[in-house]
Amino acid sequence: MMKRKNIIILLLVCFIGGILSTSCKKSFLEKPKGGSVTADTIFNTKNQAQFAVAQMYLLCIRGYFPTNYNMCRPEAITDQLYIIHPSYDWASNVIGTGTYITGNMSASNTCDYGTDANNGFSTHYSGIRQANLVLKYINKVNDADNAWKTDVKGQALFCRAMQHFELFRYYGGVPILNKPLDGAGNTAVPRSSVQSVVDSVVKWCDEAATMLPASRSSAEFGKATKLAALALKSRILLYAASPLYNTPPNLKSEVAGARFNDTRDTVLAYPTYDKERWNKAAKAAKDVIDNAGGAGVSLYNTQKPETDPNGQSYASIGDYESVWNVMANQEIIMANTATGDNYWGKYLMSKIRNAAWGIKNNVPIEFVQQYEKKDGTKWTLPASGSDLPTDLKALNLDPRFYQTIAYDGMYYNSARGILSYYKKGDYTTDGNLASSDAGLDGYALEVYKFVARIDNMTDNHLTWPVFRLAEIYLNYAEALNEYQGPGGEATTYLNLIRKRAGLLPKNPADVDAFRDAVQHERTIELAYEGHRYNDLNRWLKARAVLNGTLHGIVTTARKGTDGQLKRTWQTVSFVNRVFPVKYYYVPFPVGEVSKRYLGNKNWDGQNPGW
Amino acid sequence: MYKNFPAFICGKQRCCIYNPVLILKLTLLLVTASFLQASAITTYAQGVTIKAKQATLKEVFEEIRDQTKYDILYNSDDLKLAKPVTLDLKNVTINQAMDACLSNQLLTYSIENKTILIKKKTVIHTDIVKPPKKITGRVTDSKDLPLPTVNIKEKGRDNRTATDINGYYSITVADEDATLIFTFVGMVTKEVSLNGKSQLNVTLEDSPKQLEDVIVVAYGVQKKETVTGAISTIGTHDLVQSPVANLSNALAGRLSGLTAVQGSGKPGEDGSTLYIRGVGTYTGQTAPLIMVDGIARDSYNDIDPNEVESISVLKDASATAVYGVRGANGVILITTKRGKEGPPKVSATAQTAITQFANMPDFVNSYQYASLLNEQSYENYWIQHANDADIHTWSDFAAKRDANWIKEAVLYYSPEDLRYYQNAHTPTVNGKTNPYYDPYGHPDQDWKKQMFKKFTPQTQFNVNINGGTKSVKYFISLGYLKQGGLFNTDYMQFADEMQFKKSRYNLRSNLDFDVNKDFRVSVDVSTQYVTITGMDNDDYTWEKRILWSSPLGSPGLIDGKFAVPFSNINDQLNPLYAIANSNGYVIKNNSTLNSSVKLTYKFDSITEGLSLNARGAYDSYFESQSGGLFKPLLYGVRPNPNGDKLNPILVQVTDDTPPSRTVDYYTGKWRKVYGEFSVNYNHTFAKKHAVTGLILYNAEKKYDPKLLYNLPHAYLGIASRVTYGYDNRYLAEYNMGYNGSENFPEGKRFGFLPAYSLGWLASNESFFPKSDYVTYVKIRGSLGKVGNDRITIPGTNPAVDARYLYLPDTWQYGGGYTFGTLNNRNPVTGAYENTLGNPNVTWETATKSNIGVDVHLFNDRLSITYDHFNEHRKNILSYKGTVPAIVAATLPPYNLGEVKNWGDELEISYNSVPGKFTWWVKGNASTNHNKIIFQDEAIAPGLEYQAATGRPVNQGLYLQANGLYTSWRDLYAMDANGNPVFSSPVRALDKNGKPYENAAGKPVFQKDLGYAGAPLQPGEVRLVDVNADGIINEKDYVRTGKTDIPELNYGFSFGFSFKGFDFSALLQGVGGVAKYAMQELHFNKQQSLFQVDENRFTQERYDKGERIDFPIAAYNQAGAYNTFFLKSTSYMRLKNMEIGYTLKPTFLKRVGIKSARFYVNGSNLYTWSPNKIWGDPENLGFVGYPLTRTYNMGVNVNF
Repeated sequence: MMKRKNIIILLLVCFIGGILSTSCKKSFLEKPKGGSVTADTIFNTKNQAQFAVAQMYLLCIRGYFPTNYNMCRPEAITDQLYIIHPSYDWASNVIGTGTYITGNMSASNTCDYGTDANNGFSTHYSGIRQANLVLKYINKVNDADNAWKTDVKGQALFCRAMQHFELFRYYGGVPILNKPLDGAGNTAVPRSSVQSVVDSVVKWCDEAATMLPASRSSAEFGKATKLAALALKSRILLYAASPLYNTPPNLKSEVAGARFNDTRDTVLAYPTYDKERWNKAAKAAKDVIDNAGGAGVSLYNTQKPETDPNGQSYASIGDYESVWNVMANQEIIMANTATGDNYWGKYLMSKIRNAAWGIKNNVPIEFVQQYEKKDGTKWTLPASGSDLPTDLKALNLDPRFYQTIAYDGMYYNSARGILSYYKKGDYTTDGNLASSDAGLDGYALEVYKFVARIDNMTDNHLTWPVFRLAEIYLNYAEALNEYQGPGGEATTYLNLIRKRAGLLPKNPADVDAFRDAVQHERTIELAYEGHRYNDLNRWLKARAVLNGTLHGIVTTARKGTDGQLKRTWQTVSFVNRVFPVKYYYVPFPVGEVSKRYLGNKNWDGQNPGW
Repeated sequence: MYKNFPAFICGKQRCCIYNPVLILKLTLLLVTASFLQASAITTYAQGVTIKAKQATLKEVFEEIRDQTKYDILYNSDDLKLAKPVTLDLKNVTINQAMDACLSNQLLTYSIENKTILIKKKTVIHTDIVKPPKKITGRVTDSKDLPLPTVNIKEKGRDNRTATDINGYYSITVADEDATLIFTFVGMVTKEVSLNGKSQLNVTLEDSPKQLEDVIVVAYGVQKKETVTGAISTIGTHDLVQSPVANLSNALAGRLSGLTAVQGSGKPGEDGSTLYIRGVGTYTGQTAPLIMVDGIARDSYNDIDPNEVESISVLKDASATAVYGVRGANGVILITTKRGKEGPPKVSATAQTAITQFANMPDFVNSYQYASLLNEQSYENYWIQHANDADIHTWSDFAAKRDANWIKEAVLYYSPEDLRYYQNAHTPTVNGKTNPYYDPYGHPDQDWKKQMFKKFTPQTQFNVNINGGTKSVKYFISLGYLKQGGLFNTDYMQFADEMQFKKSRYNLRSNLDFDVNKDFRVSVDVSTQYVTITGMDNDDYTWEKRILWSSPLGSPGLIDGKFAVPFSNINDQLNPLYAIANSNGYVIKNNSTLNSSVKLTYKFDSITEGLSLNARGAYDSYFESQSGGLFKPLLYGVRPNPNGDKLNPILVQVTDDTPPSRTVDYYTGKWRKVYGEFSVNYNHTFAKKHAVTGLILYNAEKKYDPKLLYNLPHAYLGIASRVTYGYDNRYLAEYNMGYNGSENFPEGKRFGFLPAYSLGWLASNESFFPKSDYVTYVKIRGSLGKVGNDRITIPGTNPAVDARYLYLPDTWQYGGGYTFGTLNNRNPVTGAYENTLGNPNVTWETATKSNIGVDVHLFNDRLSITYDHFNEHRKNILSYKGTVPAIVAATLPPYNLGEVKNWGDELEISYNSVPGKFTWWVKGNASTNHNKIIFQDEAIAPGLEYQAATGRPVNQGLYLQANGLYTSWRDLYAMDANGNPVFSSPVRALDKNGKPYENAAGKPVFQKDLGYAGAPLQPGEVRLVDVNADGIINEKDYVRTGKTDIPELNYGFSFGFSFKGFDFSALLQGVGGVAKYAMQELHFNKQQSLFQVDENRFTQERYDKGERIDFPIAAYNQAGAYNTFFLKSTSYMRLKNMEIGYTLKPTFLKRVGIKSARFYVNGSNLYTWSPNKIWGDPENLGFVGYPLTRTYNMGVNVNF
């Protein structure tokens, strides 16, 4: 009996001893080998390294595209769009629309969109870090040849340049980072001057252009090419030559309130105006145009300027509408190919698309009036009318209007039928699009660019252009006019765009008239593609355009004398817009300013007025 | 008070008064069972003075008994033979007195306890073997109640028996003069000589209680008397008194130093967050370590309270040091019940309760809703047009507003609409059809009534059996709990599955095998099997569906069909549909297995008091989930073209979808292996030097696929304790933990965490005046270090622990990008840098000191414990706040922060003299305060008032509200008509009461001090321009106000028993706590409005002096983060109340029941709180699943 007990004891002791003895090893608390991925794992093979490259695109090629579910179109802070109740509408909170448009943007809630508390600021640097890490480690990839490595390096340089440019367009001069920083070393990199940022971006673009291929296979569509690098260079040089940064003496007063008037101003603008910057910008644009053919890029022009109002196929849509409807068309220099199917429907909220629910992208009358009549004349909308679709058709506007903006009474497609934004009036029910997330409103105009219409409302054929050739044409025309005056190639390229749109050519006689013409063309041609915010800023026109009241059109259904539905309309105020002069430069996040690295000993680095 | 053995003196049966307190006492005393033998019995030192002449011994004995309170036991036959005595004694000892009495007698005596036994002098016949003799008798307690299972042993022999259920026993002894030893837990052991008697009835006395209590300490138990750490304990009785489904919820208000905050009432998620002595760090690592039966266990909330013997809260370093690494936030020890030697005792409890929401806001009806929104639109006009260029005077404004506000209103309800809403429940007027009755076009829905049930049942059963023999002892418990939900799901397809509810099965078996007298094997196995059902996405169910609905949004259910207005097919207008449609059901099953084997071997043979312990434990957890969804049809309701308002047309607007169910899949699993080996030593030298020692080695590994890197988590540690007590007066204790953590690099991996404590039992000093007033005084103090190695990865929800903090930077996969064209999509996964490594990272330590006093007064009836503590955390593992965002890397934690934490605790209890009416009161109160000494944060010069450093942990940043603007007079000069004069704005005053200018030298006006310049009107919050720059913006935020961790916790309970009835009540409360109430914006688009909103500011309401809880309806939300909405959430609750009645055992005996107690009790019965209108103080501002109130009735039967 006792013996058996002893055996039991022995077994139990062995059991517990066994548990304990395994833990007596020194390695008990060590992390076992394997199980974690390091830079060596990623940058070992091409197959792994491409994951880091893909992430670099996710972080860097955001363009102006709203990459987050919670975002509205970037135009919500310009005169091209008005979202109801912006002060607390979830759709526009991320870019702080509500506070922005009422003049109340603050350093803790700016229009630079991003994914964390620092708004977009740190998100840009996440992209820059990823690009820098790719550059740092790419030579370690074992199974790659030099050509492959060179291509990836070119892409990384381009991506790094892209995010520096993105920062530049919001903040002015920013810290330049050309290598990944670690937390323990010196991390206090101050802001660089506008000149340094522009020069760096141009230099990286030049380097990238020599490393990148002219074109990509269809599976690699979306990756940077030589032409994309040249396009970015064109864009930043155009910005750099523009009055905000290259201020001519006659415009100094316009931006006076957004300057320190001391040496700190180098982070805001070049010290003096230099016409030669326009020449550089013109040359850079021309460089893109000259290289476009070799990359298979050309203006999308099939001689079909108008869209068939009842059409629902590719064949029925006009060339202008095709540019954003035909995936990977020839006009695209670089597109944001993002993550595939239904991306658009998910991220670009639209009442038209979601019908029952969602925010409504209302178009202000002030912007509608920017569209010329087809004959090139200006017009003004009266205060009311008896039937909106009839009245709008009768205006016979620039065909691009009817390819961009939807309105009450317009036939959209077989799924939506005739859009009905009206309040019920004489009828028993309101139009099915009459309300937005915030309730019934009857606002009758909504932008539908980048909202699926043809192809049974499938979203996946839409293309968000990061760069397209039409922009470069307009860059060229704008820069050339400023450098050498109108006429010649400036006029040629301006009219190439007008012609494709189905409009008569323009031949402005002097620099100022041409400037107006090219700015107008840019406003219409590139509407809702993310350019408006920066164009107004760099032209120093934001204060003129964005102070004052924006209006909209409300329709009400009436039974006409013929018994038919009439969409009577009247104009109403949307919002009183305020654009303080300090808005020309977005403030750095409060938290970053508090860390005191952006400026110098005597200055916290914050932009003037904030 | 003296006692005789009834058979000798009384001879008659006294009336049995059954005292229900007895059960309580017994229960409490069970805790102490195995340690009673160790207790010393105080000897009485009473002088005897007798003058007698030829008195009988009986007379003398009675005199002695009167003087000394000693019982004197004798056989009257023996005394018959005694000679009369003559005595003249003055203040002699009892022994001297007895010697004098019996000097010439054939008698002798012995003193056992307080009893003097008189025996015949025995003639020793060593060669005669006496025949065995059967002895019978009965054992009762001081109330004459029978004591079952009393151990009876013949002294000097291995001959035992025990009393039966009625207290009777019989034993066969070898010697008619043998001595019997009666032992029973909680009673003083008694030795009685038979002196030839064959019948022996014995009364056992309750053992003096207070000083003999033992309490559970880290890796062992200690006599309460010798404890020098700060420990609070409650027992099973208090725990089972709260009819709650979670162990943690039964703790609120019971223990000093413990804060329990319950955030939700949802079955399955209604546990409390526990804090011990507040918080000592700002990193969120505030959870105490939970040990169940000596092993760290992740889940404890589902342990059946009936299984729990006691819960101890270890608060200071001395008590927690042996846990080293994991003790920084305090330790909670849960000890389950174990078997006791004796016949099986069965205890069965059944209780059933109804539960209801404790606090649910009242929502407004349609008429009120429409009126409030009109009011908001009207007021909004000022906000939108105050700065219009064409407005110069009040009359300009008034004219423009009156002409336009209705047109510009986002939502406007015409007077006709309002009239319809007013008549929404009035089909007829004076017998005639009411033309304004339009329940479909102008509904008034009480969604609350339709969405929730008034109450739901909760039932609980437990049966446990406890007993054992010399070699096997067992405690086996089986429990069941069913907790219902308060949603009305009757109208849904999966009505039962959609209901929030929980059921739980508990099984525990604690077995002790005494293999021989030195070797014990304990095998504990327990399981909890829990099923939780309910809707998924319940945040949406609550916050969005309820708070997004308005009473006039839709007609709700029409003939069982979900309806919304055809003109606005928006499912959120009908919350019933929105809930049914957008929520699937989820059934979660989880099962927990806790098992352990413990071996204890006493090595008294080597040296007395030495024992070895070894233990292995295995825990596992598995959770699986299944679900389903049914999308009901939605109908649009449109007016009948024939104008009949009561016959609307329903149009189906969604398509049929079949119901779906998902198969079971696992959602969580882990297992844990634990091993422990310890050497214990416990010996008292020369009766004065009490020494104990413990050295313990343990290691643990947890396997959980959800852990980072999919690697098991390891802990390794050595703990030791040495205590020394001199003569029960001077106590010293040394505790030490030496622990390794996988989070730190070699060389910095092990932390040495010692603690020292001292105690002085002043009342045991010879010079301490002996009296009944002050019976016990102990002063104790401790100082030591504990550590923390945990930090979570920021931004993870639920929080994920960071691991291997020292390792170099790692990468991870995720994100990515899709390249390619429409027909050639090419998705590529992303890879990005993970957290960087910190090669120098090491322990976060907390230095804790504690000083405490324990005092017992009035014969131990009143006891007071006071503690003061200080904690100083250093090297707090935290992330840097000053690294520029341009680094854009995820940086590792560093040893950075420093926090101080201090407070006081008081516990007082009073127990009345037991009697017909026995009563008690208990109270505890504790305070805790803390201050961040250093936190790495970036604060711009001039904005120091926003820094967290120097302020309490978790303090928020708020704009400063100074009440409301209550009149236009606060903003502008007024004209003769009582209208504001816009050209004469009122100057703003600085903190000195003087008008001031902004940086540009322009005067600052009050009207410009709206948030970011928003126009102001009466009823807006008056915000303070803290930095006096003339604008209210982000620079005017100040870190201020109370935090959501209460500074004061208190509990007060009292009770009594009387004639079989018992009553108790617990009041529990917190103070010094606040929460931000505007978690959900109010008056925000089409959201629901409730009581708070009705109490908004209007000039009329203000002038009438009505209660104002909210600014104007058009309140400017952008600056809402201000102290106006930082509401005190102090509260006091009637947390618990219980009335019980215990049936007389004489009646129950016949059916074999030892005792039965019927009771009703309740929890969360009433709450006093200053801002109750905003919601329950524990989850203020967030509706969530509100906390519940429970009314419970039950019966407990013992067999």
